[in-house]
Amino acid sequence: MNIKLNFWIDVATFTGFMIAMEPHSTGLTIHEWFTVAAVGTLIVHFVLHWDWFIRLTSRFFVKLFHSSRLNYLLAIAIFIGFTSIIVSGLMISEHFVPALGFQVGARYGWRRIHSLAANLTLVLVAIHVALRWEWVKAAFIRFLMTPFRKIEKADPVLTEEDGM
Amino acid sequence: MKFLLRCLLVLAVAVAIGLILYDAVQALPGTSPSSNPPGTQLETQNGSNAPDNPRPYPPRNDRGGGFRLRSVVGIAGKAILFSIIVFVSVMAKNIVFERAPNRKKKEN
Repeated sequence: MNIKLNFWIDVATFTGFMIAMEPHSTGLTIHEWFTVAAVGTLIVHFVLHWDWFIRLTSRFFVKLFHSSRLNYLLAIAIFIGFTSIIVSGLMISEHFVPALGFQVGARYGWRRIHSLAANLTLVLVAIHVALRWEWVKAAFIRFLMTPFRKIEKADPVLTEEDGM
Repeated sequence: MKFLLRCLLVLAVAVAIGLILYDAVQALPGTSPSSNPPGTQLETQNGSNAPDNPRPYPPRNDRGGGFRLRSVVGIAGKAILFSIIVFVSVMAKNIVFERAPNRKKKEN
């Protein structure tokens, strides 16, 4: 897996998510178009961790009491969370969906689901980051603090598989 | 090619979950197309079904965007909340998942 690409996609996804959490900052039109475009980065994030996900699925019960197992379940919950945000967002869309020529009747329940899913997913993402904190810290130092320094040997935390 | 197929598979799973969610929400009694949030039902002129506080559907507050102070404070607040949750979770993780190996090391 390309660690650098993975790190920058994570940074972009996180930054985008934080901005999207405050729709007033960009206005609704940009909020809707921007978040639909961000679906691509989320899919790439999941696909970059494909091997980890498949291996952990097959070895889930081998070493059950491990942070990676919790992270695995969290990843599934986050995936469902983001899907809920996107679906509910489309259902209350005032700019994106009408621009495609569709009309969705605004439903009160979808708005509540949208905000609830967004807040819950924020908490889940925070726990997800915490469970891989060593990797996040090592990647931050490697790619942001010392990006131009030649490092003979990369931090092993960056290359090790979580919970294998 | 493999990457693209995996992307499509992830997207297909997301669409499937989305459809399940859509069906589940549509089946809820309070979310039918004709239902409105509490206090927003339209009244008839003769007043037989007149609610106490009739309002139109609450509009989403869209003032066109721009990084105003309130927005920046909002994003900063979310970032601080996120940091606090990360901090607490890292502490909890160290207690829950890394105490047992340390004990074993000491015993050895």
